[in-house]
Amino acid sequence: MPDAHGTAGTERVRPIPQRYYLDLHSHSTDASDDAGGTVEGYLKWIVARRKKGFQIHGIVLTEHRQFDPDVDYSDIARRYDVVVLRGAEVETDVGHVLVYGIDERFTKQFDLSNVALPYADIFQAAYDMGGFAVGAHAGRPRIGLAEHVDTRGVSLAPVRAIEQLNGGSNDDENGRALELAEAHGLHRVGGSDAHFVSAIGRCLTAFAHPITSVEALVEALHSGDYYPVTVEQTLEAEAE
Amino acid sequence: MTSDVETQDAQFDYDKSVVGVNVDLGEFRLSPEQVMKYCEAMGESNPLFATGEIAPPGILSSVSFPGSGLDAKVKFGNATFMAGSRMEFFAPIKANETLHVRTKVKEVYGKTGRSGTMVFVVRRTEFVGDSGDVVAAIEQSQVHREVEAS
Repeated sequence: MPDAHGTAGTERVRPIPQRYYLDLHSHSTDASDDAGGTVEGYLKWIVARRKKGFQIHGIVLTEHRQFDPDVDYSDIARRYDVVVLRGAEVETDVGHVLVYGIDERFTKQFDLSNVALPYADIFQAAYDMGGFAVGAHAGRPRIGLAEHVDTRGVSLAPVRAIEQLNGGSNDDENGRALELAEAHGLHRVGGSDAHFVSAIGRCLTAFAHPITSVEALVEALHSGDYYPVTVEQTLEAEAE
Repeated sequence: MTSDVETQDAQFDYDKSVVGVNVDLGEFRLSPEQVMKYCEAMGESNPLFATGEIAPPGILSSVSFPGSGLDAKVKFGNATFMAGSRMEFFAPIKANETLHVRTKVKEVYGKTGRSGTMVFVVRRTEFVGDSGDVVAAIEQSQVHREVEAS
């Protein structure tokens, strides 16, 4: 499995076996108060990046503190040939959590606008209701899991995966998340946390198989067969 | 009536009764001369605005009224500051057309970040033409937060 930060020292870059790359964490002007990127802007950017050899197969919009089941991006996704899925980023008592596979039961049980949702309930309910939850930007102070584990000793029993590589976190923060994952045997994902167009796809999750639906995404996340990468690591290998 | 909302770091409460309640701030009418003076001051050379009959959208940010609408009375933190604004334009701003101005607290919400919890108050001010259609709207966010003494 490639190092999440790429190769070290003077080792030659090895091409990564063909994988399916999704950006699992992004925000848009459609619903996130602090975003400046539009969905179409993101897709145009991805098309441009592909022309330069980067591989970005799709994105997941994880808007802040809300989930509207009626929103549908299938037309625009088809137009740009980019998979667009939807989840949400909610705020809990151990930081932010990405939730995929949200259904009506979940939104009835939890007020997603609450910034202190009980994390254990969020993680467990996501699994019980056919979804999956991931600790977002796990290495960031206050809003990442690592600090709450280190300072308050919170239990990681309900947690199966964390966002170890986040495009908005610095190297120290991503490193702290890596330590947490390795110490507790957690699966790791990558996401850009894009709020603006040029940030989309900066970090991704490499899956073993194509994913074109939220159901497939949830199934893949449960499998554990994935890892975080930077977009540079997706560059198609140059001919030798 | 106040509403308590628990947050990660502290409770914050605010007057929930003001959310969504429009307050009339008054009305105004721009003359072509005022529009042309504005364009000259801003270096606006778009021929669309040359005669002063149509005003550049940004002119609305220079309009002020006594009073500012209802106060959400947020009780959180020890500092507030502007957190951004955005303007939407739905129809041309015409000289000599009366624009009626109303404002409301659109929403109040909390969010958490690296530096702690913040409470946002979003105010929406609408400029309404004689037809009753909204010509333009400005939304401004004010953030309340705890700032450590230096």
